[in-house]
Amino acid sequence: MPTPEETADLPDFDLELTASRIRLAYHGEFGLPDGTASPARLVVSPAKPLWLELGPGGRMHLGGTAELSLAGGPSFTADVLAAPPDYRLTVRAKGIRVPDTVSLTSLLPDVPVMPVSRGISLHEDTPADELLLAALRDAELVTCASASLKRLVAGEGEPGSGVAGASVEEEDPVSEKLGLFSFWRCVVMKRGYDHWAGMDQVPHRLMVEIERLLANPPTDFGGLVDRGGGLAFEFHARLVAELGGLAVQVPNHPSSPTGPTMPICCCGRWPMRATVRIGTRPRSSAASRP
Amino acid sequence: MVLAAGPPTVADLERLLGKPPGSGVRVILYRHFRFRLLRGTFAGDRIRQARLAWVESGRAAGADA
Repeated sequence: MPTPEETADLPDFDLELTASRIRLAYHGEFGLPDGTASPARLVVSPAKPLWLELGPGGRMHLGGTAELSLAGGPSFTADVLAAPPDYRLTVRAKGIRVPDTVSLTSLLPDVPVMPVSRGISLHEDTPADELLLAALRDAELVTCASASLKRLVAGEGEPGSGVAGASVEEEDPVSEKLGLFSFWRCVVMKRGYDHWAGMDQVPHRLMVEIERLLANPPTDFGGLVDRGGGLAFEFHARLVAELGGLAVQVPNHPSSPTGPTMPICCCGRWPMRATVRIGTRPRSSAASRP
Repeated sequence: MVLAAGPPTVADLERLLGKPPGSGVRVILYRHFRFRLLRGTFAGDRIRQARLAWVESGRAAGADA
């Protein structure tokens, strides 16, 4: 349980010996073991302590709000929730503060415009199967991006339409900010396809960084992935921080007829929030949750 | 041994049990959760201004006093 050893020193706190449950308050700063050398730190204000509830049969419940700080600078407001059968830490992308030195935002070029012409600019001697493959890639990319654009920008279409396995959680402030990174993820994944306008604007350094992020883990941003027995918490939390920063700082593109082009996405999974499970491996259903 | 008049405190218990001041008194909540009761004043069915600390080895179920 990620709490300090001692309960809070609250002058008005009484421990009721006959109650069916006992609530203990905690505040202070303490580490959140994540299997890394530089675990995240939780800072809990005395004014808003974490409450640990104990009950018969070993029942425990921990809840409250904390400030989560990661090594390197990013910090978040975090909802701390630990309850059986799973013990989770839910991180809300709220009050994100990402120092410029660790943000990818400054490296990002303007969002490229979705190509109007889908011409294939291969050489004339390109084999027919390569032409066909390029055309299929082209169609897939445009179809998928168009569906995502409608769904995210114009609010049209069914969640997941046009994108296998995709779903969008309504009214989730985080989900609204993730499209750009997903777009770049798509660019990276489809980098063999170079007809996307603006592809040549992507700095090599950014591509390397995104590839590094994507490689660990490669596809699942929605749930926390247990990595070698440790928790890949920092990766996910930093990703959320980056996404929050991107959404704030990347301007809307003026050329879009429906509004901002920022939320274009052509990838099948949608990260919603970083979730840490303390002491348990993620269930498959939760791990695949978009 | 002299005990002050009034509701007993954790400090009183420490003296009665011959424990060093501030070391606390070990308690078990709901047969599962081991704590050290560091401070507080016993008052009927409650301990006023109680302060506790986890006892790491006691987080397992079935621990006894």
